[in-house]
Amino acid sequence: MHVSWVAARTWAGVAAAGVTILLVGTFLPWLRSGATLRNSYQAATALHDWVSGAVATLLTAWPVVIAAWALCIALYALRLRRTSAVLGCLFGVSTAAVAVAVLGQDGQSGALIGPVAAGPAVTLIGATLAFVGAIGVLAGSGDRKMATTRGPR
Amino acid sequence: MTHPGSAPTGQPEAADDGQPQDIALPLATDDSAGSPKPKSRTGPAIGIVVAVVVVIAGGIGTWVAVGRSGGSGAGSPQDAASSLVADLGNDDVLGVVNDLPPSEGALLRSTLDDAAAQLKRIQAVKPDASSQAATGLSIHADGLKFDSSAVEQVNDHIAITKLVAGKITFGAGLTTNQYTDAFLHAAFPNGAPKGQSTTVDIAKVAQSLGHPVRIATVKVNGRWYPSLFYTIADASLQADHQNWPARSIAPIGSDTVNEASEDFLQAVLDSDAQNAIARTSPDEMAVLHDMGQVLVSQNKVTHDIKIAKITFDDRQVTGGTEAVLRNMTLDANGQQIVIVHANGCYTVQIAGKQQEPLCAGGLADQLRADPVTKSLPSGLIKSLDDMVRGLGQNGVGLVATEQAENWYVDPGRSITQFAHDLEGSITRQDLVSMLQLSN
Repeated sequence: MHVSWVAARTWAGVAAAGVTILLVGTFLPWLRSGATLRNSYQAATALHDWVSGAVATLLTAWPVVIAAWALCIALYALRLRRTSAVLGCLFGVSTAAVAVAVLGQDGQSGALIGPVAAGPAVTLIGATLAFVGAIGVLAGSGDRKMATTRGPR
Repeated sequence: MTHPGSAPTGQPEAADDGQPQDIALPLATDDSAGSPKPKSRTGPAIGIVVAVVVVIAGGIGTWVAVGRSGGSGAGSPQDAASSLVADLGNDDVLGVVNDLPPSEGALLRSTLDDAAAQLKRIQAVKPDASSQAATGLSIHADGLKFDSSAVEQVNDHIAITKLVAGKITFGAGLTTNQYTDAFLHAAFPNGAPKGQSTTVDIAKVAQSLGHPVRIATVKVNGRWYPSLFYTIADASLQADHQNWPARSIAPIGSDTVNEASEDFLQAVLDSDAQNAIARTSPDEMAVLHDMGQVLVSQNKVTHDIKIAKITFDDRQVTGGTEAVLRNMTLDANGQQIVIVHANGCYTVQIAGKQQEPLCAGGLADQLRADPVTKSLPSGLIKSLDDMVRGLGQNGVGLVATEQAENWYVDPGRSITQFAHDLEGSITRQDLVSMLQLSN
């Protein structure tokens, strides 16, 4: 039982570290225009009028990433850990997908405008850790549920 | 070590999501033999405090991220001009375009995007090339300085800043890794030319003008923006030794796209500049409304040409709806002129007499038959003919935009749409022919 408790906290710690790294990554450079580097939020604002449709909606919603992860942590603190973990998995995959999409863009050397790898790469690492941690929390929660169902002997 | 809020052994505590939580705690077994202890209330309280703190921190983080992400516009004309200077100094094309008033920025962006899309269509540039890279435009500024004490407030929404020193370099050239090898090989068999650039020394320009270089800024929705259109308008007023008019021309909207187009065309045929300007978009063409009184006072020519009948085919285009001319009957001093667009051709009938139709293929034949133009390179003749084919197929029209349930003609969008249709009809071979002619 002690091992289970330690494991649960370890996975939560991994997720927390991932969220921290992920959020730091969003404030690192994502976009270069000339000599100006923009973090993910500045890039979303600057690019918003250049795109349309779903991408524009995504850019508008992007700043919510901080509040979304804060919600996950708050739910965990309120002991709604499975809900927190499920949301963590969803946000982790979503954030990682955005980072991968940006990393997948051609750097276009010579072009004045282009993506910068630093921000999305760190965010991807953080999102992956957060996702793995959330899966661990979810799995641990499942184990405990089974133990509870069996009841004390 | 007891986890905050842990449940007594054998009585797993269910959280709000219905899942039993924290039954596997190290000290839980300590309670199994003794009497149940009262539940700790410290744990949930700490959890709630942590949750509240995290939510507040998340809110503040979001607010800071949004607040520092550089929304458009500036608080003063000087700040707007300084922002432009900073972005020019950093070669920040994205920043420069975003510095412009929203309507001008939108027009510039769609123009760049259209040009890039056409270059991609004919496979001249690679599919993933950016608009800026594809069009090969660049701008760089060094040491730009404004006279901060000399901002000239024209009215409540126009202010002129004075640029006194520095250098601006405008560049245009091929970013070769953005273009397809096939295009580069066909267009430049001896190697791609190096880009050309022009540097403007502001101090010298100011000396030759006799006054600082004036950069106009405009106030839109409470924020100041450096404006390309207003700067050009201000320069033309300065060249004519005129001031900005004291009052603007009020916009007159129409109920439909076609009505707006017809009213605008009739005003143009009447040489009624005031009415024509009133029919233009008060958003993207705000500069026309603001300087319109000067244009009206310069325009005194009158004609007697009336639109007797006109019909359009409407189509959605970038930024608005285009009313494409289908047919029009004009009454010019009792003489009837009929223009019809059908089957990819424009035909004109004057006083019942049919003129040479403008059709694809027809222009090439005319150019080859004409003793003056028959010596033109065949590639150029084909390019011109392709353009006419495009215009014949797409038709020529006016783009109108809707604002507050009123329709206005947008000359800027109409011109860019015309250019877009021309570009859309050329082939890669046409572009190669034109580039080879220019080399």
